[in-house]
Amino acid sequence: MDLTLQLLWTGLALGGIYSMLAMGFTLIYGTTRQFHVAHGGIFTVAGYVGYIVAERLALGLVPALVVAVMAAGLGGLAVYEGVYRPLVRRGATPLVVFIASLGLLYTLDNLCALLFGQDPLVVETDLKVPWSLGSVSVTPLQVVTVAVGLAVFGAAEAILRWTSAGKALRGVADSPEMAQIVGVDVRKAYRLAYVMGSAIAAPAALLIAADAGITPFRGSLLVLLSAVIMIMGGLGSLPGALLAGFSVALAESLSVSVVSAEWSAALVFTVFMVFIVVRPTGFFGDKVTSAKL
Amino acid sequence: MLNFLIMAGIYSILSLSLNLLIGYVGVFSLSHAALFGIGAYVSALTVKELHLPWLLAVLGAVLVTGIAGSLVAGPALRIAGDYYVVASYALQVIAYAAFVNLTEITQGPAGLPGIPRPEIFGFRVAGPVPYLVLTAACVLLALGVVWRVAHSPFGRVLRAVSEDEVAVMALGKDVVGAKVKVAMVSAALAGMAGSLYAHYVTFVNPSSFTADESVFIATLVIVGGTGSVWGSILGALTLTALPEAIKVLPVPLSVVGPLRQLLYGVLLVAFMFLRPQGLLGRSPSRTLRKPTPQVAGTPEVEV
Repeated sequence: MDLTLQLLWTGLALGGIYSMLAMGFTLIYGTTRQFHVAHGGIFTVAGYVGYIVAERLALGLVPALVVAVMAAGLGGLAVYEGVYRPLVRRGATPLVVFIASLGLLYTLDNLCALLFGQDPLVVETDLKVPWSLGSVSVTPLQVVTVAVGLAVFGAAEAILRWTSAGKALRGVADSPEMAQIVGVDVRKAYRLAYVMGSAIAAPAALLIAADAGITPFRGSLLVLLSAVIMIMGGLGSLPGALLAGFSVALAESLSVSVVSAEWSAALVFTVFMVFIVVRPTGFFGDKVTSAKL
Repeated sequence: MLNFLIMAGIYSILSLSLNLLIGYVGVFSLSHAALFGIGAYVSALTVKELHLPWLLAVLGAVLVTGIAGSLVAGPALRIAGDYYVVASYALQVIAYAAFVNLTEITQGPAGLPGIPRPEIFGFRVAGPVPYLVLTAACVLLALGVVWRVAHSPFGRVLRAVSEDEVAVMALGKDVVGAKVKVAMVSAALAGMAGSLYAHYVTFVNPSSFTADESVFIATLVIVGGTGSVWGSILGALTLTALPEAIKVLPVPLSVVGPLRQLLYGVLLVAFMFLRPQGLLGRSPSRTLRKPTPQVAGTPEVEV
């Protein structure tokens, strides 16, 4: 029982990370239909930028977070304006955009590996001193992770619901042609999706850097996991991504009591394969191709 | 030199088979290394543990990988190309976990040593020259299969799909079925390459069958040319020579891996900008370039 409680809590903390990455991926895919796997590279870069500010410049966690968020947002915007948009304007199909995105993921991750080595680099913080709640060990960092995940969801929903730029983005996600006809600037909506979606990756990266340390190649697994979470949550559904992010993390964490930890990633992907056979639309999706932001 | 040619031959089979998916079905796969690995393990274990002849082992490898490939393609191709990428990655993760953790069967990270060289009707293919002949025969077989698929009824359906998918469906052609068949053939050929690899190196372990290896095989296809059989062979010849070239550079060993991968990443991005169809690809097919809209008044979204 104690072990189960501990695993539940660890799973929740991991869910904060997963849902942040998946919400960013979902925002971008739901709006642009671009399968942006380079999101994993943006995550990696944000983690190292945060590490430099926090550790090498010794400025601490909060300034590191601010700089990392800005770096990630700008990075995402640069990828869209510098790579995807020029390709699309030359008539590239989604396959071509995807291949370029994959190349970019490899470029960014391996650049980080060459610059920083492959050992985890940890951002030191007092938040890792655990409290004991009965028999369960809880670190403040884990509480912060869950809180940040929920806060990010709230902020993103608020922007989409109540700002005109956010409403435009939802319109484009629903139907780019219609949005354009009624005078929405589609390019601006795409840019907002890339900036917002990428910025969300930064807190996730920094929280991982503070917990286990940032490594160059974790982003590539995490981005495909984000795609799995997005599909399970229903394409383009932000609440779906949040819920599926926590569900997948909990399942992964709890699976340790049934099978050995080496199988946990394989287990998640097996569940996904069953999922697309049984319910390809996800929890909240109504049609496979519908986007609901 | 002989060693290089044999390895290039094995990678030619891999890039030819993956080209069926990228060039004909128009989807990207991240599981080709997993299929390569499944073929290698199945074939090695069949000969080593069951003491069956190599020809049966290859057949087993081809069957198992063909089934594995269709398990992914069946559900995923019904939906959309993006799903196929994720589903193929799922196969890659699951297969790799199996190679590492099913220690009873695969001996885990330590790998399987002492895989015997193939025996065909009593003739042991041991030396490099006979093995090169065997590899060349398999490359020719793969070429033949790819050519057959391209000119088979379902290959024609797929070519028509790349012109106009909706029209083909309107004719009542089973487009998804055709795509799944091609994915199955593609996977089966990767299994054959796996068998050739296992009995040539006589040792397999999981590190040869990672997701990075999948991306490497895809890079061969993209650089060589989508939809071009000679392109796939050219891609395999040039890019398998590359690691050897990097080894000559005076860099520490820990840097070699990331340096290679960085190069593949840059190659992929550069080719998408400069020559999306690859070196020997035909003019960009529909999987790579959107046609100009046929219907007047279709709104083109400006992004």
